[in-house]
Order: sequence, then structure tokens, then C-alpha cells
Amino acid sequence: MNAIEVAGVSKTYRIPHERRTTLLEGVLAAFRPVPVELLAALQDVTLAVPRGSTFGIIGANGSGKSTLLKVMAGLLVPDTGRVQVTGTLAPLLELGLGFQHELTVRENVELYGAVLGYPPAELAARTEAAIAFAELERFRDAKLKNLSSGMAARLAFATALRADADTLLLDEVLAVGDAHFQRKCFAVFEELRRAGRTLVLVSHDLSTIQRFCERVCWLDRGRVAHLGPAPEVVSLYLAFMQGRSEVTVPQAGETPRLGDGRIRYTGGALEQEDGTPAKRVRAGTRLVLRLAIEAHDAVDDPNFGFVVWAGGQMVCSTTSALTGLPPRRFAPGERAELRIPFTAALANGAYMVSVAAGSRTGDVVYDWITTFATFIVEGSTTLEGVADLAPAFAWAGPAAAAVPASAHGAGA
Amino acid sequence: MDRRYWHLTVQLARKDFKIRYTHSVLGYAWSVVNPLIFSLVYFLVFSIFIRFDVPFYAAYLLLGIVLWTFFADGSAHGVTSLLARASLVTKVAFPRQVIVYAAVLNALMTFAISLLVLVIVLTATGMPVRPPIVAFPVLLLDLIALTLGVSLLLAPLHVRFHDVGYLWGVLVQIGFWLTPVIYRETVVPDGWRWLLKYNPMARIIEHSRQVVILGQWPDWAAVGRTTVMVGLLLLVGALTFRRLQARLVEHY
Repeated sequence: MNAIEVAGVSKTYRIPHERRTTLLEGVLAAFRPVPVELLAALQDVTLAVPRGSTFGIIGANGSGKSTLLKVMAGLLVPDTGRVQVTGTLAPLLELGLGFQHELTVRENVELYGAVLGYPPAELAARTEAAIAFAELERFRDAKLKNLSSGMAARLAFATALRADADTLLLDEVLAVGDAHFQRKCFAVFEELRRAGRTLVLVSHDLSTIQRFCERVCWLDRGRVAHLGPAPEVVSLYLAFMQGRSEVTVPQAGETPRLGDGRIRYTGGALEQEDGTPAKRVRAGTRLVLRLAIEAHDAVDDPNFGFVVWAGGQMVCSTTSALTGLPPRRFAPGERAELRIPFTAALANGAYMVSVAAGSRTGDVVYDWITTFATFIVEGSTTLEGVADLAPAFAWAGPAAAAVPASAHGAGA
Repeated sequence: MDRRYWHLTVQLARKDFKIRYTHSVLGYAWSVVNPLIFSLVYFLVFSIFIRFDVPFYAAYLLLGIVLWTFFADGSAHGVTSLLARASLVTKVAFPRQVIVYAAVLNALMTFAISLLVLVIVLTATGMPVRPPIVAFPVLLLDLIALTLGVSLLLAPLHVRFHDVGYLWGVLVQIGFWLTPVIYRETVVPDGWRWLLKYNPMARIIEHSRQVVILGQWPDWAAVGRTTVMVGLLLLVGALTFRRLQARLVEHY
């Protein structure tokens, strides 16, 4: 069951070189056509947001993220294609819409709440809840203009979170408030997700996207560059943003891959030191990443790298240049094999390895495979975090008397 | 329209109404002071300086001005409402009519206060309440429909071409003199009567004076014609609005 289905949606903006806003100009233009710039904001975008999931939209500025959100919200009519929304939907494209400086905090929440569709019977109760969440009870009857802009943003976000639409569309709204308020918002997010709400997030903050989104759509100049699980899309996007190469949209079942192909990884594996595949390993094990390389063209001094990810969070990224591998010149058709031993000093969990080949300056990507290998780490003593620093606890002085078994269990 | 959107309409109108009179000592009183002062000035000019000889001229004047003020005020708010609420309209999807309804409702709140004052003034001056007054609500409905119709028709056009708002402002000013607000229809020469015959505001004001001040039953056929005229305008306005609202966001 999908909350939102977008099928083959295209949207082109017509941007006149001279904007006509007066009637006379409009009439004159009928005889003297003004040159019009066509801007394809969305091209054949197809995606589905599963009900109850958190869906992310990422992309560079001007890639069509906001247009897509507006099409989903029903604010813009697509030129072609269709959008189907199941259930109610609250778009939060801008915080504090319609907030009026001359009204009090409470009146503003009432108004914004009505815009967001608070049920009339619950308006008063929800207004109070929103004010309490924003921690602005003391300012309930103060005019909004007397609040700081941070407070107003907090109030707006708190109000927005109380809207009980099945689906919430959020455009960059997490960037408000201080660290304390953000933590509270994240908690509410978790709550909303557990309550089975569908969330669509547009954000430049990739860590937020990774933290909350199950699936992510990456838009590049109005097209879907990649659509898939968050770690995969985000890492692909990051690699793309670093290399700025053309992206080849992978076919179904194919692993996402970037690069101009002058150097390709043709094989390899992640293994333990004894040569067995590394699927489940103990924390602190030495692993070996074996990579078969083939040059399709003459390449001077390529740089090879790999990235280890934990659920989309980058754990480690490094390259052959940084680790001191001597430069090597590749002739067309030349093959080579690279061995990269490293220590899995990692906490328990699932990890993904991406591999990259590029120019030493980093501006050309020859090859990038997002999901080259995956492995699971077990037996780590790390409580929180992603690294296992192999700590050992011991008393420096003489050992104290052992705690009797009865006293040990007294607190339980 | 959904109950939820009706609720939103009321919220928008109430908050706007409140904002309108913040920072003023007299507050809501201004909504009444304005038509009262103008009635007084016109009374001074036309009854004492120029000596129009109309019985109950003060009552005539006050009623005409109260009705006209609502029309001028409500349509001015209504026509510019979509543009004034740009941030809301471009960011949240809800029936766009809500914005126009709220603007007219806001003017209606002021109008209600003015009507109350009108009743007080008429009672104080010894105006008897006679049965034909029951026709007054029909005329009020016509007035509201007319204001709403104009607003729905012009508000989306105003978003596209800002001239529409200015043009409407000029038309309302001209209309004030081409409508028997401060004079009686009877002073207009026969050759010019047609101007008033097809002017719905002229019809509404004249009928209102007839039922409220003179206590006569109106010509129901004429009231019917006015209602049909106003109803058609409302229909055209609503249909135009429906057609233009889909791509409204792109024209801001």
C-alpha cells in the first residue's frame, strides 16, 4: 500500500524574460511575443512512497526537490503524469505560514492549526499541547513580534507536528531550533514513525536523511538519478557530489555504479586473512579487500579508495594516495590486483563497503561501486558508537575485595 | 464545503478582523465611526448646504452608506485577498475559495456592527418597525452574493495582473456616484435611469430604503430580477474561480 504514487510526472516552467504583471504589458505581449525560457523542473519522475515509511528526497540546488514536493502536495499541476495520494496529507513547505506578528502566540497557533487541519473540537487542546512542546507557555499571550525568531520557528514546528495528517511533507524544516529542541523533534519523529505515519523529508542534511529514511530518491536536474535504500542512495550521491561525473542510472538488479569507465573494477572480494569470505566476523579481525582492476585507456597515476559505511553513516574513507601506495601508470588493457588489508575495529552491526577509482585530484571518477561488499561484525564490547577501540578495564592498584553475590543482586 | 474548511474560513476572518484594529485606541469602534462620520458630512453638505429636500434624509443616507461601505470594503478585501495571502496559497493545498470567503466574512463582521448601530440610530430617531422589514434579509443576501461574486471573479485575475485591483478601486469610486447612495433615485432624469436599472447596488439600496425606512412592500418582480442578476454573477464568479485556481500558484 502506497501513501503517494507519482507516475511519469513532468513539469516545465515557462519563465518569461520580462515578467508581465500589468494588464497593458499582457495585452502588448499578445502582439509582440516575449521570449520564454523553458525550464524542465521535473522529467518523467516515477516513484512510490510506501505507507508508514519515511521517504527522503535529496539532490543539489535546483534539482527539482521542492517542485516534486509541491506536485505531491497538489499545489502544482503536472504537465504530464499523475499523482495519487491515499489518505490525508499535510504539507509543511515553510514553517510559520500565515504567522502574524500582531497576534499572540496562542492565536497564531490556532490560526496555523486551522490551516493544517486541526479538528475544530480539538483546537484548544492541541493549541496548548503545541505551546507546551515549544516550551513557550510563559509567552502564551505575548505577541509574536516580541519573540525571537528561533522561538517563532520552534512554535511553528511544534504546531506542525500536532497536525494529524496520514502523510507529512517536510521541506528543510528540521534546520530550526537549538540542539535541545532538535533532540525533542527527533523523538517526535520516532513517535510519528511508530504511529505509522508516512513522512516525506527533503533535506540537505544527509545525516538526518540517513537517520530517518528507509528509502531515498535522488533527483538530478529534474530526473530520478537513483531510487533505493537510504545508505545506497546517500553514498552514491556523496560519491557523485565529490566526483561530479555523469551518473549512469542502474538497471533493476544491477548495483549502482558511477564513473567514465577508463578504469573498471572487474572483480574481487572481501576476505578474512585465511582467504575465506568475510560475511560474519569478530570485532578486531584483520580483513583483506581484494580488487581486480582493468584499465580501458591509458591512465596516469590513478587513485584507488574504499569506504566503509554503517547504515549510511561513513565510518572510514581512505585512498591509495593517502596510504602511500606508489604511483602507477596504466596502459590500455592492463590488468592489476590490489590487496588492502585493514582491521575491522568496529562495533556490532552490519557494514557496507564501497570502492572507488579516480584521478589523484579527485575531479574525475573512473569507477564507483556503492555496494561492493557487505559484512556483519559480532562480539564487540562497544555499547554505543561504531568503533571498537578494544578497551580493557583493570585496576591500577591492588585488587579490591570481590563483591559478595548477595549484595551484587540487591539492587535488581 | 467541508466543515474543516468552514472552520478555517472563520479562523482566518476572525484573526484578520483582530489585526485590522490593533494599534488603535478606539479599536473596533473605527468600523462604526467611519460610516457615521461620512453620513454626518454628507448630511451637512446635502441637507444644509445644498438643501436636498428628502424626508428622513439622515436615515436614507446612513442606510445607503452602511450598505455601500460593506460592498466597497468587502470587494476590495476580496479582490486582493489571494495576493495578500500569497505565502499561504503557494505553500498549503486547500480550497482557495476559503481565502476569498474569509475576506468577505471579515468585512461582514464590520458590517454586522454597522447594522447594529444603524438599528440603534433608527430606533432613537423614532423610526417605526413595520412588516415589510422582513424583506430586508433577502436584500442583504443579495448584497453578500454580489460582493462574493465580484471577489471570486476578480481575485484570481488580480494575482495575474495587479491592475485588476487598481481598476476595481476606480470602478468602486465611480460606482459610488452612479449609485443612489447620497441621493434618491427619483432625482435622476429619465434619460439616465437605465444606468441605475442595471446597477445591482442601486437596486439593493433602493429596495432596502423602501422596506426599512418607508415601510412599503417592494416590487417582488424587481427584487427577483436583482436576485437573478446577482445569482448569475456569483455563478460566473465561482466558475471562473474554479477554472483559474488550478494553475494559480504558478502566477504569483
